[in-house]
Amino acid sequence: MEPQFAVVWPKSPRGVQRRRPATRLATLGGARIGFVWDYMFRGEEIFPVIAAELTARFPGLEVVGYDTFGNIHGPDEASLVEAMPGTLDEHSIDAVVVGNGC
Amino acid sequence: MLRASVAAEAAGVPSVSLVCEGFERQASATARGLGFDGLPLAVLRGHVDAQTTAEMVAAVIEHTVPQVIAGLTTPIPDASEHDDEPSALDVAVRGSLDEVQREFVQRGWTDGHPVVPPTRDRVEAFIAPSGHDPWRILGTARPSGRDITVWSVAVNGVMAGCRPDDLPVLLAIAEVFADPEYGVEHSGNTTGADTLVVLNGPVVGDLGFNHGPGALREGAAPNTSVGRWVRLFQRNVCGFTADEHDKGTFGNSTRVVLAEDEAALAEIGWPNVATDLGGTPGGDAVSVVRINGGLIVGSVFGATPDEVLPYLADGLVRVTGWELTHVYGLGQGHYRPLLVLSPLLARVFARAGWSKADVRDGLFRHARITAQRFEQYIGEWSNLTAGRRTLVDLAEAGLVPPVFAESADPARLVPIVTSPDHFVVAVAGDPNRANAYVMSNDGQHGWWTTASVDRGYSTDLMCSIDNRDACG
Repeated sequence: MEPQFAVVWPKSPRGVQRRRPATRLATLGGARIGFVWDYMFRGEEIFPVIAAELTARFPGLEVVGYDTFGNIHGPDEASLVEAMPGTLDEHSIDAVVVGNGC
Repeated sequence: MLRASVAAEAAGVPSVSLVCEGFERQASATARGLGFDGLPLAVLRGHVDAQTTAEMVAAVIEHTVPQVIAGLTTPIPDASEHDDEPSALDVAVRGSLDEVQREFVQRGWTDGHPVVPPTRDRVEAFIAPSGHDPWRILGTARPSGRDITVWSVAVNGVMAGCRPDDLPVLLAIAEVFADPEYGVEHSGNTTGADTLVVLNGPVVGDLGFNHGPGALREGAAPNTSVGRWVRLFQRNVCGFTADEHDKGTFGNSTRVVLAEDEAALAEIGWPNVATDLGGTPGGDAVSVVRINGGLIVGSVFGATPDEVLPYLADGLVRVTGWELTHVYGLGQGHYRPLLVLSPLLARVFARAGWSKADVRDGLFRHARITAQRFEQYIGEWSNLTAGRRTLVDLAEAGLVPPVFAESADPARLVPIVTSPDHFVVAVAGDPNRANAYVMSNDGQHGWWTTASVDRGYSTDLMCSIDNRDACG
């Protein structure tokens, strides 16, 4: 009879704990929306389009631009991401739009 | 990018992430690896770099904006609590050799080649001589979020055809993958670089790694199997498969380990790569980097440094293009290409009294391109430096050294790295041939990182495979 093999799994357990996403907003009306950018893939053109559309559709919506959060791709990524909770709090941000993964 | 979204979610702030079409699966897998299932995405149709402004704006308004709104306002359902994944000691596949191979191919657990079946006995025998705790966690594999354990290193080592003696080398590489400075999570980026391991120290000779003729080619068993382990480990533990995190447009074949010619280095009094990168002189070490591509600088003619240096510098220029965005753009001062000299070429420098630092200084003087071409690579042809700032702008802002802006003449020559020590110089290959190899690195997306290889018998355990609680 041909030899038989019982082999183990080549992957490894996920050690990262699952977490619940944040509660979504009831409406974007009156919300402060932060734009967070990795300074790639035409974000300087895309974010103004999104800002114009959102502010036109939701009264009282305010946009906090990507300059506030810095370039989240590159040498400062780790420090900026680490500082993100404080930055969001400092600017009273209710939700963020993060781009661009291309 | 998803790391920023996750940071916001963890802080209680809802996010939506903008991704180009085709990135949805990878983005979701990355978020899952960071602990968040089901984070909302807003898709940019097509690829923005290949669209006119009108096309892009229309697609954003019609398609992306509604998804932004939905992503920030629509509740996210609870994710399943169970992955239905096996545990480490479960039998994942049972069958004949052919059946095991078929199953591994079907499940995406191989690199396309047959593997040595990782039976429990084989894996245990692979670890036992080292005395390591199989359940010791070296860190987290990004972006999958899986644990990097001695066991997982060994399973993939068995599959790759490595020997138990190779385990310390594999563990050192795994340690680099666990180091955030290295950036293993970028190993599936679209431009498709692949990992190179440079091996240094007595381990090269002791374990029979090839540093001579045919260096960088498959054939020598340890160079080949350890290089293969890198691919298997990145697939199975880090998650770089097409259905998860691999978005490489192209890719390279697996890179075999580059072992340096330690005897030649000792003879000419040059430090090896690991020592240059901060490793302990004389110690065993791996230095890991992601390489975009390389080319041969063939038949170098000349008996003096001044005669051979221009051709070597030209090779470094020719292998360098969009990578200059790692000088500034995608990175900042993160371009660090590799020059591999044959021992014969290294001796041309050494017999003239040149140290390795002298060679790097010479390369810094000679490996130059026009500022205009540099700016085209980083800001016009690739659009990877936001705002298309000139080198003069960047120098005035302190983002690149003054040498890049000694005048505003677009025809002026500027270096391709920010300082001479950013040229990494290795010595390997046929000792009697006048050839060299140059390679471009992928910046922070697999940044040069060195780790010691500890070949001592481990004291972290003598624990039972079955009894995880006894393993500390």
